[in-house]
Amino acid sequence: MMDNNDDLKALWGAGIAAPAPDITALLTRATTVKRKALNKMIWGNLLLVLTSIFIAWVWIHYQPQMLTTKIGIVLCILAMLLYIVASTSMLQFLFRTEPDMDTASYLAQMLRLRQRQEYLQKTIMTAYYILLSAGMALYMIEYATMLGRRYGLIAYLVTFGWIGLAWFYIRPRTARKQLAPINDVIKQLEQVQQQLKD
Amino acid sequence: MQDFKEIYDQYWSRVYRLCMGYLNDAAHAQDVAQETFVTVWEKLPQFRGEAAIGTWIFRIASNQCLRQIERDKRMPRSNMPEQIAEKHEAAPEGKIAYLYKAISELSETDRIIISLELEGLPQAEIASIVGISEGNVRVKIHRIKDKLTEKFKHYDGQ
Repeated sequence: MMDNNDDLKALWGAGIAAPAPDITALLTRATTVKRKALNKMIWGNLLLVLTSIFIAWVWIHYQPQMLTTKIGIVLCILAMLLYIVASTSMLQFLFRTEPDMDTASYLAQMLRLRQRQEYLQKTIMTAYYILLSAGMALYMIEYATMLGRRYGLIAYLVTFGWIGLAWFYIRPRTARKQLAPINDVIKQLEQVQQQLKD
Repeated sequence: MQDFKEIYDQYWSRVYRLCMGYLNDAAHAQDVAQETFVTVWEKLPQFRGEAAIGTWIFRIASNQCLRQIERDKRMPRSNMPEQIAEKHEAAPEGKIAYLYKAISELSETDRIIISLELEGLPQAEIASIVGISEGNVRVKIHRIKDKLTEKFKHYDGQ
């Protein structure tokens, strides 16, 4: 039987203690975490630089004649850049939290950030597919004309068959997989926020 | 400005208990307590003293606990091999274990509020940490204690 406030407090303080870990180890860990975040950032940027070099190389090496080809290349590269930006930690600055707010504000902040993430992920995914499809369609015009009507048509059919599969099958599946955990978190955060209002 | 080492020595056990109240898992609690102090260390230069240092630390600790909602979804703890080596804390026993278990069965914010209360923080400070009114804190603490008392009626000495 437990009905005394002091008993609860005594129990609370009595049994639980963990030796404080060595302070140097703790701070080493802090620096490691920071360095890892920085490395991730550098790698993300490196990919961007490499992609830019790739744009220049394709342009110089193949010397496309038609404007549509050039626009197509730019769109495809944009799609890739968008993908890299979204999939590396480069969007992290949008999701940086202030860890020393009061709980109610912190919950509201976490919820806002997750909702923004959900929105961004949906938007970026759609933009990625639209840019890539439009880019490829434009890019292929120059070469499809060279192939002649029949082979040109086949080339387009194959390409857009693949894009269609990606849009109608792969995209919704990926979206579900990526959005499900975010939605779960949002739902749970809303529940926790409600607890404070009850 | 207080020295970090001093803060660490003074608050480690208190923060650890708060994390234990929230998580009821010694290794996980130790982890979250460590993350709390890493954040304290990082943010200390920007601490302007608008709140008492204790309030500020407990805010960071409470938020760090709540962040576990996101962590759990992203990566189940069983997937983190680095945690295995850290399980050296003695697990609480008897009534103490029962108290922590009972607390961990409460809702997330109740866990934080009662842990802060049992840690001996004034209700005004708890209100400032959690971001609700003092009156609201009082009502909640009363209700939570009722719940805990009710749970202890089923305590069979195990």
